Amino acid sequence: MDEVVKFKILTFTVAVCALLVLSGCAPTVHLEPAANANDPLCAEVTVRLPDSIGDQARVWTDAQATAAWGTPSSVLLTCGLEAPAPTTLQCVSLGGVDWIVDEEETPNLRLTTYGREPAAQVYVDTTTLSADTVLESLAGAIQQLPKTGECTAPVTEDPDVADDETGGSAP
Amino acid sequence: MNPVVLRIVGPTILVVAALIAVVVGLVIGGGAAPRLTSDPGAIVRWGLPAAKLFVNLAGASMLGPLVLAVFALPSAGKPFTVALDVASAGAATLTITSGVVAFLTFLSSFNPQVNLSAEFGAQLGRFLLDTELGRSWLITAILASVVTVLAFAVRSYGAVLITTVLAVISLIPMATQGHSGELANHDPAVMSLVLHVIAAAIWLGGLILLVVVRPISSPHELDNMLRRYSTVALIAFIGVAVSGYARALTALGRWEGVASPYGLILLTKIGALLVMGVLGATYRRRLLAKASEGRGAFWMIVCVELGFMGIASGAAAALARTAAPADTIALPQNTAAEILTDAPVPIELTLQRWFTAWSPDLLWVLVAGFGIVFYLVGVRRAQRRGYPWPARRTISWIVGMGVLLWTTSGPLAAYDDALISMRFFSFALLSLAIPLLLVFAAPVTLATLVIHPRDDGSRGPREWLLWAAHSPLARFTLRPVVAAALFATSLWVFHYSDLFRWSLYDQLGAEWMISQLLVTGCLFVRSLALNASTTPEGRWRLPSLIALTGVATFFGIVTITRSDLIVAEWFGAMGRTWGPAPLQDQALAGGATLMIAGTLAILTGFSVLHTKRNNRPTDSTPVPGVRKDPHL
Repeated sequence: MDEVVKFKILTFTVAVCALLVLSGCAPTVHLEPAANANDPLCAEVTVRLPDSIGDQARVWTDAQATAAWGTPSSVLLTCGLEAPAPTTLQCVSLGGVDWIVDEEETPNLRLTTYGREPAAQVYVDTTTLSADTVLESLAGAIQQLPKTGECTAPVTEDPDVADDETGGSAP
Repeated sequence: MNPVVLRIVGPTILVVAALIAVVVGLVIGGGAAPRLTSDPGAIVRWGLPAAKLFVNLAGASMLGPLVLAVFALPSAGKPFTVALDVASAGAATLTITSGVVAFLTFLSSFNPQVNLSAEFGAQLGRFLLDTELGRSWLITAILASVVTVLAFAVRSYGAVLITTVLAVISLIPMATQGHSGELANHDPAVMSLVLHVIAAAIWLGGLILLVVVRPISSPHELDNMLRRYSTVALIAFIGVAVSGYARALTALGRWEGVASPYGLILLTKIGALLVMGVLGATYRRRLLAKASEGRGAFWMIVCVELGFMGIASGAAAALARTAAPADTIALPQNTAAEILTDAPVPIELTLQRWFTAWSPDLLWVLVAGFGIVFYLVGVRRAQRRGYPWPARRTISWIVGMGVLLWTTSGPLAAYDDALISMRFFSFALLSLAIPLLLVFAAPVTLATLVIHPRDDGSRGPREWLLWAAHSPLARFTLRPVVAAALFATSLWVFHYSDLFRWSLYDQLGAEWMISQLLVTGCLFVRSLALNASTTPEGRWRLPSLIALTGVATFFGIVTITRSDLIVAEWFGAMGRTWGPAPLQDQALAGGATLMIAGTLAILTGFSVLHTKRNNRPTDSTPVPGVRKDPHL
């Protein structure tokens, strides 16, 4: 193999490596969009989300009307879900937004807006961040979703539901 | 007037006129009026615009001399050395004054307790590092200090060119801040301000240099310099006028805005600009030939012009502190699209909108305008000298520049924030279709044919073009394999890295994207001109083309079929209620990029035909769309 050909192969290799490095250095979190992700109201939420929650910086996602914070992600948000039906699960109210708390995957919590159309869902790793920090940070953006109802007896003081046995519930 | 006296009088007139103008402007516009709450004190209120004025003047005396050194002065002569010294002094002044402005801005916007405590230092540090305003002044000061050292240290043309580029970059951050301190970078109006600042600096700085080097120049040197400066000044004048007009449109909003204090100061600037234009046009032409013989009148006019430039600079500094009518009536940003792009979602894209929608990008309006005018002037000059210039080349150039204008300022530009398909379509045009048209027009050949060669050792556009065309970098990047690799890399990297995001959020990023795609496209098309039968590099043309066609096809198919959304937080959050959903639109975008693959496939076909024909003993015809130029 003569020098010229070697040089060309080298050039190509460098180009390919540069490509891999450049595409690799922009981590994008893979999420699935919700059914009504294209709802313009979810756009209003997306553009108002905070750049960071606590010390967790926002990272980019690859699905419409979704967001993530922290590497690895400790908070995930999806907008554009069907509004949940009334449930016996606990309901908390924070910053003017009612959330249904699903603690099936403790220490990870799944929080879904109640009485908002379309609905949004937040998935929080509570070992990294407390749920009320997250909900307070997100309340401003979530309030863009119009209110259609509210919990009957929400917990307003302490959303740390893990040790709250007498919490309110959705109607 | 005595040249040595003029050397002192000229800059003095400039500074005095500027200071008077800034004070008058502040009084009229109320830019330095005491504030009702958290008033930072008279020193800050009056000191900030004054310091900003000196930043403008220092920036001009940095950039203007550098540009003249690059384009007008022979590197062996004394004026060249003096120009670099002036530039170095200007850059040093810019370093200091931008530091002062940063400090005063900090006092003005945060109104802290000024003392020597650690807390104050920490606050200042946070302002400089964490806020966009502070950062932009910090970057300006750092770049200006680098230019100070470089302009002092280097004397070769290549190094001076790099210094000049750095000097231009150092003026960009202060322009992107906008007049009212708004930091929304996305606004295309930002670009008009960037162009305005740079063109004004070149124009004013060049004039300062003329006055400074006059006593040490021979009549012949002075004559050459005046002639060349006059060309630079004409281009700068057009740049200043057009960008100023665009900026004024966005700042005033409506015609009633002219009656406001802002409009009044603006009218002063326009008046000064017109006077300078008239002075330049009539007197420079008439007196140019005689100026070098020491005719006083010409230099009197230079003094008057400096005075008016001072007025314009002072008015500009005052204007920067005056609330624009359009800013005060601006509605709060409400919708998602307004938060992202500073503009509501455009109305539905119908067939009619393809012909009526527009969103001018001043940079490319100027590039296309100057490009067409210079090319036509060149063609006329070539024909007058008896070189026939094929009409198909002229048509190709005009169409190419027209498509460039349409892409950057037409419906594609108006909708490319809302629709990813429009953005990818403009990428496809910029990266291959426009370069094909432009390279076919052989602009470098025309330029080397008709631009007068310099005979005094300086470098004009012709010398720079030939220098660039024969530089090792150009020879390397014009190899078919390298050019194809660059093209493929550019295609993938731009669409799948944060560069793409940058081009959405920041107008500078958008301009970078357009430039990068055009340059890689032109290099690639140009590299195809290598003749397969005569050069060893040419043998790689066909394999490169085939490989690139494959890469582009793959790229298009990947884009069509992918289920995730590119820059989801932008294209998925526009709140657009018409047209296809973002994911479907992205599939359309992939279809648009298949255009690149299609064009490449056609080029491959031509290349195969051409190679076959070349193998026959009869003489060859070049590949259509690609021509071998003697000068490249």
